[in-house]
Amino acid sequence: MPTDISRSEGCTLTGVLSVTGFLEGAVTVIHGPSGCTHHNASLLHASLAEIGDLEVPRLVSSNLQENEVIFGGEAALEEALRAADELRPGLICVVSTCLADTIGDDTAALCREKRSTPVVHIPGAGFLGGGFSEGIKNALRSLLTLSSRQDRISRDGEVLIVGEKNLEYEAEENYCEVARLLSLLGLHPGIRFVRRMTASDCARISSAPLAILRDPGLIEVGSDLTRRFGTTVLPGFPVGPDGTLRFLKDVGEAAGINPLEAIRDEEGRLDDLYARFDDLVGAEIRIDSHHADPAAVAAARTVIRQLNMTESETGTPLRLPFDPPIGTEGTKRMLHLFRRCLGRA
Amino acid sequence: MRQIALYGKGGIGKSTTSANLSAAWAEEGRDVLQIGCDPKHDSTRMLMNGTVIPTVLDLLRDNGSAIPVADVIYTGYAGVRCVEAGGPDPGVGCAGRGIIATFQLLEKLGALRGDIIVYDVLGDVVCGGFAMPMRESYAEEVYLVTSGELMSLYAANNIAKAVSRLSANRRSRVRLGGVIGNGKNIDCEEELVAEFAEAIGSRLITFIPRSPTVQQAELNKKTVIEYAPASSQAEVYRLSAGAILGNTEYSIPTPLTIDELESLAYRYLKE
Repeated sequence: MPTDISRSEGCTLTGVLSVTGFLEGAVTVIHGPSGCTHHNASLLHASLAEIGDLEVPRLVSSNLQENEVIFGGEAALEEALRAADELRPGLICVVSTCLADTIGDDTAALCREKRSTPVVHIPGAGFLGGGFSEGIKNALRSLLTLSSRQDRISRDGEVLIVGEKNLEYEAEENYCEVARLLSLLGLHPGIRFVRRMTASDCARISSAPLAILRDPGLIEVGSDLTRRFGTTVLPGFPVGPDGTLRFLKDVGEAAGINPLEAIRDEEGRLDDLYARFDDLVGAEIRIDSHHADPAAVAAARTVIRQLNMTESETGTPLRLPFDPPIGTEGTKRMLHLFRRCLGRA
Repeated sequence: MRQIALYGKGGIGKSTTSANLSAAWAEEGRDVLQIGCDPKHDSTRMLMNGTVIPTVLDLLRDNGSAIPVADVIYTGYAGVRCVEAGGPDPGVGCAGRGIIATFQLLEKLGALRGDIIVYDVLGDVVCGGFAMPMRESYAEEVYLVTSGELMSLYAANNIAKAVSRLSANRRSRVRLGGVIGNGKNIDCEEELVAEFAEAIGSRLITFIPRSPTVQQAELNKKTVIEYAPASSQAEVYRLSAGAILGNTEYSIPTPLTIDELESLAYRYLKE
């Protein structure tokens, strides 16, 4: 039976770097050939420039060459760790690559050795089938080991935000929307695990009693949070109008807060939103759901119903957002997109 | 130039056989190069009167690829040129890749020449690096060294699989030259090994009976050819060397299933 090792969603290592690259004060050591680092540095540079960020994360390569392939690369990793340490980081993240795993280097054991700077090992080899998403999960789960129940300092109303899509165009907008929704319940985001959080904040991950995952694909990270720290975990950011109201209800219940007032507020805000797009009412449209995210399709169909739009084969094709719309603000951006599609028709 | 590879289970006697064959060919005045491809690097020791020569990989590790040919190739008994590939410490790195690096260096140095090149290759390890002598057509004739023991036959059968797979490539020139029986004093051992050879579509090219002369020669750090040139065992090696050199029959083997292999061995065990 062939194994599905489709690379369509990208390299495991890139997934890891999309997390560790946003950990301020940390250096990432890529234990593999320099090509792995070069390729990913180029990719990160291009992706970050696209979203207006010109700072490439600090990466160090252990630069494995033929000698290391034959005789083992652990000495090269030691050297890379020394080079990383000279940058005086708060944390060194060591990512093992396909090559290091293939030749059998015990990267994890080397990372466990006592050092002046904390070192965490993150599996980054994808040759057995892992991809970009696996890399994100591996990174988040490995970083959890830097915190413990003993580090727990409870902060009232603080919610842990887990696994934001750092390379996403609308990462900040989505975060602001989640923060706004939480504020309706008297809550606020604490640590953003991990987006622009400092390396030293890793020890505080256990502090928040409630965590919200960026999307349900991170459920294993959520399970780890619950098992390690007893954190209550909600499985995803709110998607579309229905998801937004459900999010308020779920967060309220998880935090022991009556959500009814917040839900009523948001329902009013949604009504105002639909009113602002009344020029779309009754439009004849068509959506291509073949390659779209099912959550984005469901959110689109909710607003289509609300605005009495009709779907037909001959209708104007509507483009769906690349990522499902987060909250009411995301829904608003989706409606702007629909308006542009209809305006061009 | 004949390029001959002897594959077989670790400890089956490949190095002893290779060294004695090389010695026999060299005595006849042939220019022989023997390359030990086992990380334990003792293939050529008896040809070198017990001296363990530096390995190519140790030299590569210490000096990079700027190595003079005299540091890699050592002249042993009757002028046999000896090379040891070596390997990493157990449990680290990739010994297979080391074999590839060794061949690339020897090629770069122009050292892969002579009348006969003998590749002495470990058969328990079946990664691409160890198949390199076959895959890249360094070795054109493969001989399987086996006794009548099941594990030894199992390793030989595995190598037969590799020959079969690699010869499917149209560029490949690798073929199975035959099976060399290296006796362990098992009843009907020669018949068992011969039947195994036929079962995989090949033939027993020679059978080397177990002899105390081999151990005596090794204790004296010599090949049998050098230590006891008039002995019957030396004659066996000379005849074997002649049989291999005179061989013109090559085949693409049809390896056995594990069940077929076991029932073959079991039948002889019962008898």
